Amino acid sequence: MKPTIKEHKLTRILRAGDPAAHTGPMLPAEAAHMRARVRAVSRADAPRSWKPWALAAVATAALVVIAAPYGSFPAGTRTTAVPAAGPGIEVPVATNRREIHFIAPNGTRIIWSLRKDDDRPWKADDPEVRS
Amino acid sequence: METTIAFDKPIADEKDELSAQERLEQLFDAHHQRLFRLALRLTGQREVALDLVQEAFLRAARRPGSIPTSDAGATAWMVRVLVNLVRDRWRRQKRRGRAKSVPAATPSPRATSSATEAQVVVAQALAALSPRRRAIVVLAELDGESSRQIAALLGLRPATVRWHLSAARQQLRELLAPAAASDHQDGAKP
Repeated sequence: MKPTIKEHKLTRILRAGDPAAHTGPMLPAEAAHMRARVRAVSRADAPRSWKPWALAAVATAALVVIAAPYGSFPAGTRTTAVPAAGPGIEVPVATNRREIHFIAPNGTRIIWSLRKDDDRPWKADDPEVRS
Repeated sequence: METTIAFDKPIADEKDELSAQERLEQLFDAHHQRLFRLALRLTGQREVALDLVQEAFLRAARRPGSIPTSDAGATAWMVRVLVNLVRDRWRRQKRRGRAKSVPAATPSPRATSSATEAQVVVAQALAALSPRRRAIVVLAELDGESSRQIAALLGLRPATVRWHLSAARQQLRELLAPAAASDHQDGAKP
């Protein structure tokens, strides 16, 4: 049978052999040296503080770079009040759906979605279409 | 009617900006002795304990943003970093095949031979435990922390802490039994 130790005795043995009890605390000189080293590293590795204007400039530049490949809207030609065929109409081709975008002079955007498989003329009173 | 609006976030931000370094220094002043004691108990070696505590604070210095803002959170964060460092060291030693060759802490000149003996026995018994289990038993038996406090410090569930503590005590009882028996016999001699 293995010998065992009771709960309170185990605690007593552990405390009697506690390394911290016999070695003592960190010496002031050791602590000062360590503190100075930590401080030096903290200063060296401190993140650069970003000024708000610099952040805004970087964000704008990034936005321009990202938006550039998508092209720009031709001025004047797109802002027709009447939604009719013309140079202001942009018809992106999709596989089974087409969208026509109009931009009114006040900035309102109108988007028509046309499906290839639905060529019937729309009727306001057509219950099938409305549903 | 006067309305008061509390702006918690900006104040906290201002505090953070004002003193990431000051906060680290406060953290150091508040915790370096406690962490050193813990490191000493976990490793049994003064020089190693000093290195580990320094490394823990250097990690805090390199990543000040990851230190929780609350005092309790910061304490737990530091303890966890230290325990992880001890574990990393233990794993490295285990790979090299000398995880159990932990000498006892360097005794002060005042330490008696029986105290040194007890230190050796305890250090060897603690070294046989895994770092997490060792940390739990040290925090419970030597620091006097409750299971709930240890769970908060190490980011574990209290039930997990209790389970590890029970297993660690059982392991230590078996490891320390011969020493306890010889002590008893020595004490019984006239």
